[in-house]
Amino acid sequence: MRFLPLFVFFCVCCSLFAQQESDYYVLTKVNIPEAIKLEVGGMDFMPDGRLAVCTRRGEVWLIGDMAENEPTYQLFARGLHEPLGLAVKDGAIYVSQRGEVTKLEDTNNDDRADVFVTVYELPLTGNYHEYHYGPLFRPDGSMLSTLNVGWEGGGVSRVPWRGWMMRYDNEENKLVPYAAGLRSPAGFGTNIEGDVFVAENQGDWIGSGRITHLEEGDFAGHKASLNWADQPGSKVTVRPDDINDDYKTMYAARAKVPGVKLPAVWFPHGILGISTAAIIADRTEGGFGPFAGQLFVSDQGQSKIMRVAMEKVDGEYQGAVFPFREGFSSGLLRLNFDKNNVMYAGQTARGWSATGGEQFALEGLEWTGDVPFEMNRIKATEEGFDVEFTLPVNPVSVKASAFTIQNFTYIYHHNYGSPVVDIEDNKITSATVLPDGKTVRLVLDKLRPGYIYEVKLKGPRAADGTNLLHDFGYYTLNAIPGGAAAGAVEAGGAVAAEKTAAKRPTTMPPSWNGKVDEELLLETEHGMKFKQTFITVKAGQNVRLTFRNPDDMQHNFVLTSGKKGDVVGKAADGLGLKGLASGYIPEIDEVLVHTGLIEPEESDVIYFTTPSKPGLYEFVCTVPGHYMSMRGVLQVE
Amino acid sequence: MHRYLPLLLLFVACSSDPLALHEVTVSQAVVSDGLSEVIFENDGPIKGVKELLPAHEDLNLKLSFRADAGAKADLMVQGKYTIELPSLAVAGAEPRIAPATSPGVWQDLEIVFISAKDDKPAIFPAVYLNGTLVYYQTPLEAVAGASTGPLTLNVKSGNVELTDLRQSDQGGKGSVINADGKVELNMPLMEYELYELPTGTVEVTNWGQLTPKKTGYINRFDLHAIRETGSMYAIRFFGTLDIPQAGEYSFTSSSPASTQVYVDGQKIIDQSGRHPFIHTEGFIELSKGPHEVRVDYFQNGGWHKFDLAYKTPDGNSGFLNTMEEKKTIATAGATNPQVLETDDYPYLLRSFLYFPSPKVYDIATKRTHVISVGEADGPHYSLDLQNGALLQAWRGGFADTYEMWVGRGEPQVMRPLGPIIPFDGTPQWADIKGDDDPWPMELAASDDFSHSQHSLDEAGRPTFIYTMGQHSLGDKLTPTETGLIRELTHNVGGNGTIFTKVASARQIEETAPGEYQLRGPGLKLTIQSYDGNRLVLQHANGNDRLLAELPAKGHLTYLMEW
Repeated sequence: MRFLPLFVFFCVCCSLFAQQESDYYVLTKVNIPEAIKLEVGGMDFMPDGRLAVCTRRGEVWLIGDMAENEPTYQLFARGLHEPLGLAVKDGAIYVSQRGEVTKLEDTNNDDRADVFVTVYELPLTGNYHEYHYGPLFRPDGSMLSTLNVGWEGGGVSRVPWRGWMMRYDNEENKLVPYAAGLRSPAGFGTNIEGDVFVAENQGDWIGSGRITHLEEGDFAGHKASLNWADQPGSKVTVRPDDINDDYKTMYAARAKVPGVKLPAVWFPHGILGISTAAIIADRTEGGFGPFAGQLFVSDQGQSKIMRVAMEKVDGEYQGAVFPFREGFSSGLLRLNFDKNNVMYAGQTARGWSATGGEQFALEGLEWTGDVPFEMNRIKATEEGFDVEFTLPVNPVSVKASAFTIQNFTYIYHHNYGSPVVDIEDNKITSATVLPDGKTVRLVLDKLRPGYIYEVKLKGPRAADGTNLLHDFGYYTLNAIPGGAAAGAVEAGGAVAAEKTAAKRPTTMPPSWNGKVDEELLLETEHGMKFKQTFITVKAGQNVRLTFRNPDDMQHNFVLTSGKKGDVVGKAADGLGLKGLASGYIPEIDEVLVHTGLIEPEESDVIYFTTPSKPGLYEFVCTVPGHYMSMRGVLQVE
Repeated sequence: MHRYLPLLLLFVACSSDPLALHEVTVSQAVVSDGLSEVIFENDGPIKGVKELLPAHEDLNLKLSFRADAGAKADLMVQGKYTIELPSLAVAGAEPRIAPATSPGVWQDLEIVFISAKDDKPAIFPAVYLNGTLVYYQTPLEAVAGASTGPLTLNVKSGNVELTDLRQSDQGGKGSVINADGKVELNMPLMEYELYELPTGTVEVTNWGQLTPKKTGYINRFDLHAIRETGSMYAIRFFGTLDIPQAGEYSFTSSSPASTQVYVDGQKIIDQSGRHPFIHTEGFIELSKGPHEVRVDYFQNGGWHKFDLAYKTPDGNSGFLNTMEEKKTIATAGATNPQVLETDDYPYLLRSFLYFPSPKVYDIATKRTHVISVGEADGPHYSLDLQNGALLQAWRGGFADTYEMWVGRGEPQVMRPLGPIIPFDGTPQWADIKGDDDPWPMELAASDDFSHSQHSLDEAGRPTFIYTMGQHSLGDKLTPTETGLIRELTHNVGGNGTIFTKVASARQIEETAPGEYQLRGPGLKLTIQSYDGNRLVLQHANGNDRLLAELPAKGHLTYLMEW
């Protein structure tokens, strides 16, 4: 019964957005026998159609008949050291173990590896975070692999070539450093042009998830790798002394240090993933829906897949990321298409929990043949953006007010992650449907390069009346076509300091003379709840409230001016990106006092005087989606 | 043994006797273990009762023993706490690993002992057999009498020999004045009490009225090893800190929980109440000698963390019994091992490995490119693929993968499930220039050594192939009833020869041509087949190495038994 309100809410949502992702892309589980812990580290298809999967426990399985109720599982090898990548080349299986790339051969054709050839070995310190991914074969037969930095409370590169992408030349048997600046490059792949893109997660020097086009000699941002930049074979020009916190943004760093490579597309943390992993191009030429040539990027922590459409401006890739498909069972580390254009997602969540909740999974994703009404791509113009849809749009539904655009960036620093900073609203001066009937040209009052543009839609419908399946995307504008960069605002100059909120008094007012009338404690619990849901205080008391968050996600405490939990919660939900920047605190009178947005395992202390008027005052957590269940009452007597 | 006799006779009959041993002495630096040699009258098997040390209190003891089949003896610590040899049985205690020992083979035993004090029983913080932890923080059944007495051996039957006796009067690592003359602090062992508290507890003020959920001993403030819940628990630590030099000491507690630190009953750090992760410094004037340290830690939600840093009057600083983040601290391993089952097809498991075998809660080093091969009940073995060295061999269960496959598996180390025979870990192959050219401790980049592949035979057993400059080198181990057969081959190598290490031990003794008895580790070696003609025994300051020169396309096959 206590879930009734939530249930009603879902029903309302369903009726509003009658269509679902599953109407277009259907998810099916591949059955895994009880005894097999298929914690997928890497996978690729064999010439005979079976899927070769390596697991984090070091096994390699050959899986056949995946669509059947009882697929076949053949143990090909075991005991490898946490292999996190697998590729099939000329019938042989290559895996990236922690300490080497190994070629596994089956010389007597009994479906078991009997020769293990060390293709190349890498030094290690023994730090758990020194993961190794790949290999990725290039058309010339060479292969690429990526190497995590170690973790000692910050990323470290204590042995070569931690934090690098390496290229191995199979003909000369030579390992050469290819590009630097990586932190936790769990996935990489090529677009249909064959250019290499690497995915990164939020971390130190990495403000948010992203994908970056890597060419030889590039430096992608994480400083630790630069320890080896001057070693023989390195074409990286950036040196450790070049990188510090003073630039404020990567865009500003790039202006001073040409060797810095900007991400092609930023993925806003928490909105479009928290741990980007596999990158795979849609090479199905339409067999997987209307997104041929685009990239799909998986996310481990949020059990979902995002979609990326890029363009080249001034010779460099940039573009937009959109939601694509959520609802997978575990953490998506790997993606592969089979020859029938079914996309398989190899998943694991051990040690890094994933929304899906399962420890591991293997699932297939198939296009139903129906085309969803989506933003297909966004292209930058001199004055704004061209938003191209998958279907012709109903011109009547297109007007400037149907779009909202704001832009922001992330801080480039040695700290872990970054808040969303320097948010600015964009005024849309016109929205016009172009002659192709599918593209809407948006003209903005101004454009500044070096920022990420949130494009939100409200109302546009397809000519056949279909509603949008997803109504937002994020375009990374590294450069404005036509070279307008010269006259633009220099990103990084305007990163605002975090303002101290008037309604979050973290120091005791001097007028209290050091005396607190009442100590209050409020704690969170797993499952979006406050531990204390009913607190009684006297009117007009000076209170010190300690808010502790032992949960594994961010929470806050917002005291409302009465029975205003819903009003405040809804207002916070509507803040969008500004929500994250403001700690999800709407600027409305119904908010009396609040804490900061508190990280897991941390706490906050605020000082306030309880209302003079006795009554019931609701308090809520305003992190989007939380206020419905995460609320309590302060009874003032 | 007899089946190889004709082969040996054939060797012996050759004109240039390939099994002739060339003994040389080489100089090599010795690393001190902090213990000193115990001189005692050692004239073979011990009869009856023999006193090894006069009356002692705390003790760190190392020795080697060898017992015949059916032999039995009691090693009496303080004359009253008994460890039975060779079974290592201790009354009322359960060993962590079945301490299997073979008759007639030398065994290395290390005992750490803290004598009974006040109402606290005597304890074995750690007992190691050949480097493997057998007992861990085991309190001993009370025996009447003073907390002092001699160390004796009481041989009850058969032949028991002892040698290589070393000792110190520290029951674990205590405070020291280091090589630079600076004070380094450490408490050898702490006692702990774990409490669980009702939800809503804000502060623990009534310790005396609470009943501990459990008590025990630990060497470091390892909250994770003690706690059983995520919050609402409290731990009290009690330790004795020896101060080698009087003066004002500073201690800094770093914790997000309610934490107090007491020295001799005086509260020097108070981090009571609810607070974020904070650092609090406290100062105290301490006299030379022992001082009682107590830490009260109450976890009321949030992060489990407690570090205690110190500064000494001479300006030195460090962490006191803290789980330091930037160094690898080896714990005792999981109490609930994740047993990797073996079958009749060898399991080749790659992992990190603590090597040499770590002391519990001491700083450990890892080998990072290790492969362990296990089948049935063994013997199993581990190799270092970066230098070709055989690191260890053992019987019994194969591997505990708890520290690899549970959670993130951050240590990434496998733990053998049986007592190991440890080897020295130095490179397997070297291009030494003469009998007295010291064996290298590690490879140089110029050696150009690498593991190129391993291939499996029909039974699934691997042959490892390495390259070293122009040489191609092979290594294959095969388990037998009594040990391991190892075949080392020099496949290709132009005109050059290369040396390989047959064995390394504290002592290697030739008992017959091609037969050797080893101590530290205890092994019997028998050369079965050898087509080179230079065997060299290097004596290097208490470390013997048996080396064999292999010509191109040459090989050496030998049996290791224990």
